[in-house]
This record gives sequence, C-alpha cells and structure tokens, in this order.
Amino acid sequence: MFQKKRVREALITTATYGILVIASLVALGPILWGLATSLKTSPGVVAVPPEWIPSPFTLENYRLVLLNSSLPRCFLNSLFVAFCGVTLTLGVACHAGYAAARFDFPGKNGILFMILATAMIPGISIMAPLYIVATKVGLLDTYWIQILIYSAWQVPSTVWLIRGFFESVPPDLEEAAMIDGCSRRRAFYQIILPIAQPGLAAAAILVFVYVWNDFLIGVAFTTSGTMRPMQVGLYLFIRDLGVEWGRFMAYTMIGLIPILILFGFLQKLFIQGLAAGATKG
Amino acid sequence: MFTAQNIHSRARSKRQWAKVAVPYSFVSAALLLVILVSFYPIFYALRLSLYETNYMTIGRFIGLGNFLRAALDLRVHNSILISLGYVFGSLVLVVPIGLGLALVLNRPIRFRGFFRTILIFPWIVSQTVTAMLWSWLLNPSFGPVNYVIAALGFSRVMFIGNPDLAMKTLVAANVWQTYPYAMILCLAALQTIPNELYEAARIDGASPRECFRHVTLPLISNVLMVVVIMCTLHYFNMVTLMYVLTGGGPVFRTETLSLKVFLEAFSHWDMSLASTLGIVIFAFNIFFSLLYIKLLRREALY
Repeated sequence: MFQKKRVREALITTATYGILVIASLVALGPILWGLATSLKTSPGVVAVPPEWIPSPFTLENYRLVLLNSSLPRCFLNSLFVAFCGVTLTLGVACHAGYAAARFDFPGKNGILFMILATAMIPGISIMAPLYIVATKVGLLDTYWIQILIYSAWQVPSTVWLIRGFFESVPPDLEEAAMIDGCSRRRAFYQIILPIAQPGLAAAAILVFVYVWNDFLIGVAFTTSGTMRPMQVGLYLFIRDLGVEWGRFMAYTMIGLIPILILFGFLQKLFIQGLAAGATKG
Repeated sequence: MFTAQNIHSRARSKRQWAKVAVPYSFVSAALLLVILVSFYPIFYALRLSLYETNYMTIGRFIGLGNFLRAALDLRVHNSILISLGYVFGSLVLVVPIGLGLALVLNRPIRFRGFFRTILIFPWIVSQTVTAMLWSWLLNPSFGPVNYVIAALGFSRVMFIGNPDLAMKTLVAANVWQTYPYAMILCLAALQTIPNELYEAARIDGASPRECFRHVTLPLISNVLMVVVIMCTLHYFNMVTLMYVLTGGGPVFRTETLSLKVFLEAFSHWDMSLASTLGIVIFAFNIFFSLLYIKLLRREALY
C-alpha cells in the first residue's frame, strides 16, 4: 500500500516535470528558432534538415540590418514615441489618480466614470474617425498623433493603477506637511510623488511595453519612413525584401531587446495582477 | 484688529477657492485627453455611420442605411461568423491550457520560478512578432514543423495558404501568445485557496479528482469567468495578428469583424462602413464589459 502510493507520487512528479519541460519548449521554440535563424548564413537559413544550432555562426545579419535597413530609424522613432507617451500618460494620470484617491469635489464620480469608461471603447472602433480628425488638423504622419492616441488610451488603466498606489499611502503624511504650512499641491509634488515612485515605475513600464508592441496606430497614422515605428518597420521589411529570413529575424530579435530588458520587472507586475488591464485593441 | 480679521477672511476665501480649484485642475488634463481622443471619436463614428461618405468627405444623411447595408452584406455575415469562431476556438484552448499549467505550477516543485518565467514569456511578445515567428516556423519549405511532417512521410503543409488550415494556424499562434494571461490569473487564484481546505477534504476521504471538482473549481470559478470575458474582448477586438499573419485570407477565411473594420477604413477607404461596423464592435464590448462589472460586484459581496 505504502509502496504503491510512493510509485504514484513519483509518477505524478515525473508527469509534472514532463509537462513543464514540453510547455517551456513550446513557449520558447518559436523565439529560439527565430534567434537561430538570425545567426545563420544565407545557405544555413535554407538548409535541410533545419539547423537548430547555427553552423557556421555569423553576426552578418545583424550588421546588415543595423547599417542598411529602416531599423535604426524605426527603433529610435519607437523609443521616442514610447518615452513621450509614458511621460504624458504619467503626467496626466498621476494628477487624476491623486484627485481620485484624496479629493472630494462636486461631480467627482461622474468625471472619474467618464475617464475610466473610455477604457471600454475599443481602439478599432474609433480608428476611422481618428484618422479623419488627424488628417483635418494636420497631425497625420507625426510623432504627436501617436503620442496623443497612446496616452489617451492608456490614461484610464493608469489612473486606476496609480489611484491604488496613492490610497496605500497614509494621508497623515500630507496632513502633517499641510499643518506645517505646505500647500496641497506642494505636498503632492514633494512628498507623495516621491513615495509613490515604485507605483509610477510600474505604470511607466506597462505603458512603454504597450506602445513598443503596438502596430495598428503606427501602420494607420504614419505614412513616411521617418515617422514609422519599429513594429511597422518590421512588417514592411519582409514585405519589401521578401525571402531574406536571416536578416529579417535579426530585425525581429533587435525589436525584442527593450522588452527583454524590462522582462524582470514585467514578470513581477504580471504576477501581482497589475497588468490585467494592460491590453487594448 | 479689523485688518487682522480682513486678512483672515481673505486667507479663508483663498483656501476655499483652492479647495475647489485644485481638484478640478488635477483631473482636467486627463478629462480633456479622453474627451478629445476617445469620446469625440466615438460620437464622430456614430455620426459617420448615419451618413454616406466618399473618402473623407461626409455626404448625404441616410439614417440607418449603413446598418442596413451591413446587415445585408454577406461578407459582413462571414466576418461575424469568423470572429465568433476565432474567439470560441481560442478560448476553448486557452482556458484549459492556462488552468492546466497553473495547476502544475501550483504544485510544490523545484525550479518553479524558472518555469513560470519561461511560460510567461510569449505574453510580452508583440502580435506582429508573433505572426512573423509563426509564419517562419511553419514555412512550407524551410520551417522545422514542415521538416518533421515531411520526415514522417507526409506531404508538406501550407499552413497559411490553405483555406481549411489558415484559421487553425491563426488560433494556434493566438493561443501561444495569450495563454500566459489565463495561466497567471488562474495561478493567482489558486494561491489564495488555503491548504486547510484540501486537508479537510482529504480527511473526509476525497480523491484528488474530487478535491479539484469540489474545492478548487468552485473557488476559482469567478476568476475563470473573468479570464473568459477579458479574453473574449481581447480576441474580438484584435486586428494585428490576422493582418500580419494571414491578411484575412485565403478567401476571407480569417477576415474577422475587427480586421474587416480596419480593411474597410484603410484599404477601401469606406469610412462610413468602417464606422458602422466599429459601432457594432463597440456595442459588443459594452455588453461584455457590463457582464464583467456585474461579475466583479457579485464577487465583492462574498
């Protein structure tokens, strides 16, 4: 009886590890295959049978892509738009989030509802009207339109997230500062914001990844190579270049770098359940 | 004395003013931004859906004419069915896979953090990159999947070019990218179940299957509903993955409603039809969001 139970336990443990190993291979397989391809020579890319370990190993694809493609420009475009988008979103959302957490004023619930309810509007439903408006006001094919749209779409979830952080800060801190003659505004900038830094960093990372990974706004609202973001550059690269898979995968891998750098933080946010509302469109 | 009082009341009125003005100034920027970039466009979409348009100029008012046109359009019917199939097909795979992996990760095993890290990874890969990686993985001539198929003696498969396989391929890529979301939410829910409950069930003689059926499942059913609703909305609204992987083809077999909205707007420049279908998608979203809110309220009661 005891023996049988132990055998069963061993079987379950083996099955558990078996499932995890297979699932991990499936999860990483497509990425590893892309990485391997990016490190191959042209004959290596089309070799049959496919090589999982590139031999000979080369960085030529990376060199070509960095020196002779849309990548550097698109990479910087995406970085710039993401950086400005994060700044604008956080600047706007931290004030609204603070008002939501601390102030009581006429119309508060209505205003907050209006801001948060826009999270229910799917991006795809308003792409056409936004395009017409952007064209009319002359913002088509600019950084500004991308920054504005991303920020507006990220504000609701960011307000919600930041409000939670402010609510976890005890109000005694500001009250003490205000008794000492500090204004509400100054108490917010000099006491509360520095304390809420971890929360702001979390929000910033989520917005950054959203902007970095988005494709639709870029493809619809930019028309020239000088404005194009990374994901769109990637898409057009294969369309224009066709079968150069080695270079193409090098492009893809470079596009993953910022996400990889942030992955450690991101994972923590996912596990804490903070990233639940981080998708739109 | 008199002046002191005056100063005092002036200071008070200033404070009163600040009490009202500061909150409004704090919310004003956020409000302005969402009004300009979300509210105004959705009303504009409503307006466009009631008019004829030619490229970007608004023409004649035709009432519900566009909705009628959409309701009678066989390709719109096709898109709705394709969307429902896509959402359903993805959910049927994502929920069991997410829950199953969460159950495995919830066991006391070694390298748990390591496996969890790896298994979350696809979630942060963009839809564009997902589409690219999968089309290369499934490449008919040079992809490893087709190599294995050929080595087993079958003929090579055009996963994306075959009308009967394109949707399945799209669903597979989508499942690969989004199962971590279901997994993480389920894992978080599992970790809130106190161990004593399982011990009590075991003392009562419950088998592991009965434990799952009568302890685990009831306690995570709300989270499972949240997963289903959030994934439904995400899948129904997404465009990028199909746009890049299949472009809606072959023969419209993967042209979901959301992709059709995008193509109507930015390939055919039919802004009124795009807005009309966009409103339909919006209505669908409101319905599911209300369901979600209702569910959260119910959960809060416990």
